[in-house]
Amino acid sequence: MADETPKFPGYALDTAAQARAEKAQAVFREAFANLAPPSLFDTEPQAIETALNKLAGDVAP
Amino acid sequence: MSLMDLTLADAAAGVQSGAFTSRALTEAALERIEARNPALNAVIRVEAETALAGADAVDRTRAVGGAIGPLGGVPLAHKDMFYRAGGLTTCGSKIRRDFRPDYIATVLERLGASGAVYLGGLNMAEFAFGPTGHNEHFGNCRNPWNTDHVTGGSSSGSGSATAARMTFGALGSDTGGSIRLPAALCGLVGLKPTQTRVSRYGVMGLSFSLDTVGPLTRTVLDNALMLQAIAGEDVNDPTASRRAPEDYTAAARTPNAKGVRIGVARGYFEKHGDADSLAERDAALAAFKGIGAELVEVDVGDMTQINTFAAAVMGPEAATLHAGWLRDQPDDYGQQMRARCEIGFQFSGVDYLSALQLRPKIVADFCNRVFSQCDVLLAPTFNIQTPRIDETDIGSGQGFERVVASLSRCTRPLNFLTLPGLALPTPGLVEGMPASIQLSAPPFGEARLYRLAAAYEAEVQYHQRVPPMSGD
Repeated sequence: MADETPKFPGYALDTAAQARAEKAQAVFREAFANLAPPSLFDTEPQAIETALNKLAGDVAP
Repeated sequence: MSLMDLTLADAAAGVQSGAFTSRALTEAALERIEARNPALNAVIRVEAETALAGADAVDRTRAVGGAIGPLGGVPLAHKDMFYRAGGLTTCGSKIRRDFRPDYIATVLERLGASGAVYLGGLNMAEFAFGPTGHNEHFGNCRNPWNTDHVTGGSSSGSGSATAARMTFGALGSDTGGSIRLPAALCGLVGLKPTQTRVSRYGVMGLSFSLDTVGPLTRTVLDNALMLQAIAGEDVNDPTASRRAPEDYTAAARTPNAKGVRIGVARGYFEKHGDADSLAERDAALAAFKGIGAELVEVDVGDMTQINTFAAAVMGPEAATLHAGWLRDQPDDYGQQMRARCEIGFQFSGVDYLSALQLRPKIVADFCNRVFSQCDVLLAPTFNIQTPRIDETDIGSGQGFERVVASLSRCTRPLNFLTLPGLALPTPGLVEGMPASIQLSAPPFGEARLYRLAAAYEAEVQYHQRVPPMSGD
């Protein structure tokens, strides 16, 4: 018997959104596999401002 | 000639010199809105009393020799998503139709401190989530170059009202192209600044990792004047950069293209492109070459991959912000807004964080590869002909994702890459509608863009073109 528990209880989500999201997720995961290093262990998302300043300093004329 | 046909810079100079008053400018703006807005639906709320009182205050200050600021007395209207204490801020939505915040956005506070007069709120895509300019709640915004055509979005009213000379300039927001697209489709200059350049305190959020705030104007100098007023660190927004802004207005006043290496981005940016639109891009390249720039071919890599990262960030962030309303009052959303938000629910937490985690590396790799070969990168802002309103009025029906993707394919990558992007009109028109190029630079390279763009503007004179209007 199929599990009828809604994935997001309380929400009336369009079933088409699920299909679109699965497609988008698959595309994302393929792109991620192409671009990511073997591990993200030593990466830091909050370093974006540091990265921007470094790039501005490094490449500005 | 109406005072509204002046540039923002000339309007400010006129008030400063006493050639005319801020009240005269503001009355001209109100008259222009009354004449042109019925055909365009760009202005959704005029605050005439507030505007005239603000104008009179500037005039009184000037009369007693006080400083009125670099935008002193200039009336400006903005996308209706910047908060003012006690003022209506609808976000283009039914849900926030009566919303009155109790604090002011830093960008509005700074424009006011520079002397600008607040004129009213402009139409926009619902919650800034749509690239065409359609709005189910306030009605579709129309393009002054041809009212059968879309304005681009989501800052639809900012594009239409500025191009139709109902305001001297306008703020917009850009999460995937929402400043650059309406600027491009309406024949304007539009800047998406570097991700952290402008404070977002008091600005309606859509995707906090990708949202930016910037100006749409008729000229490069006007754009620089507005950015100068709003850029810089903000104690109320910890994500705003503490890096000091450059002198943008000085850059716009010292045009130079000589010796500038312009990287020509082909491949991805030409794919699915319309021949006439790409011919306009080529005409812009020829103009740059004619004023001394050096053109170099640059391989930018596969932007499709960058776009998938942007989607993995934008979807979950938008879904998070809207989760409560999507649960409790889903029918109060327009079809497309709801459909796009719902996709965000389905991404996993690991997907979302992986995209953010990898972002600094992707940005660094892109900049080091591209900007070691050129100073500024040039691509089309959009590479198709401007769609009609009726052919893109499809809500969440079949094909809506294709419409979204085809309009924003050239703008979306810069949001994930954090880079500044400046939309500029091309030398000619395509089927009577504006076409546009997009210049981008390394992080915080806005002054570099303005200097180059001002040289191009002086050569091409696109700002002398006036959209055909009726109703005056």
